Amino acid sequence: MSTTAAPTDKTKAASNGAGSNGNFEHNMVLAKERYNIVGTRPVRHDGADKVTGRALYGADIKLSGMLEGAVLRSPHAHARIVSIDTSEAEAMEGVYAVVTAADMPESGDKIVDIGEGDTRLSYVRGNVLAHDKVRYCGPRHRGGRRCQHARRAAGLRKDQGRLRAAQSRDHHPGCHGRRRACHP
Amino acid sequence: MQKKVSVQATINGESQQFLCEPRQSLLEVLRDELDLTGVKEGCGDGNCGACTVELDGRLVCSCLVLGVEVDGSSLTTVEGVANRHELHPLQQCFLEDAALQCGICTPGFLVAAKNLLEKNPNPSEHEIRLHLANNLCRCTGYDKIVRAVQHAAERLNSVSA
Repeated sequence: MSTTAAPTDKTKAASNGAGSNGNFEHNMVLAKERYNIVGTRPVRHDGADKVTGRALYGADIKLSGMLEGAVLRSPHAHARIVSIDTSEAEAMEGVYAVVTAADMPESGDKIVDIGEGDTRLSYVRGNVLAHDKVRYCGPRHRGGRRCQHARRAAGLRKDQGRLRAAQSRDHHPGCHGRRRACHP
Repeated sequence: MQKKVSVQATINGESQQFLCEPRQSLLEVLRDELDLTGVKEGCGDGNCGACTVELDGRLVCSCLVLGVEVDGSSLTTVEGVANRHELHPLQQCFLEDAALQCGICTPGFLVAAKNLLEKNPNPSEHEIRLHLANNLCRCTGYDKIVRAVQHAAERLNSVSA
């Protein structure tokens, strides 16, 4: 990959289009230098891999002994979580762990920068695994989960509350998979 | 676990025999059993078209087809779009027209667009948009993709002319 040519005298370039009062005109040209990359339309360098299907994404990678996760989503868009019964899912053979919001530490009332501005940590926590209250209705998945066992464990529920959410991880030999983003 | 079934299919021109469970979707079979991970899972319920493959000349969402259903069929995935030596004009045009960013939808678009150009070498913009309506893209939007397909059609026609 060739490198961009070093820009030359910036003051000279900027003065090309600036009016006498220092204001910039519409569509003015600030630099007349030609660059090798800037201002051209190069083909993206991961492009060939992506158009041939060769590019490897997270979900395409298999590791030996990898656990398969499945997420149970809320059937209601707005609901209070009365109780979550994970006992049946936990009792299933091959289930490594069932995780709910109760397993997560209390977040407190901190304000954190999550990369897109400051956010209240308790809101972020509620978006990862719902506790107390559900705020989204997750789409229901009919197919496509790679490990049916994990899916079945996640789907297990007993009628004890208005809503149950369970996440299970499974370690069947030969069963490789990925974690899903966890929405309640 | 259910008993596995032996399935024979021609995939990207090569005859393949594989074992799959009756519950497994074609998408799972392609990705997990045959390592054709170019086929992507987007939604898993037939909305997004990322897992589009050509099954006996027809476009299907491989997440909605069972692996056992393809016995005796012929399949094309994105891995079969290019030949061994060079990219298909569609792939070349997708690159040149910047018709991809993250690339998750791209395999589905390519398979669908190839299917279109084989049936209709001179599609109108409307026909292209209609044919690609089952494929969703959340990065580039559709204009660049449609343009890439138009350029690929021109290129294919100029080669064959």
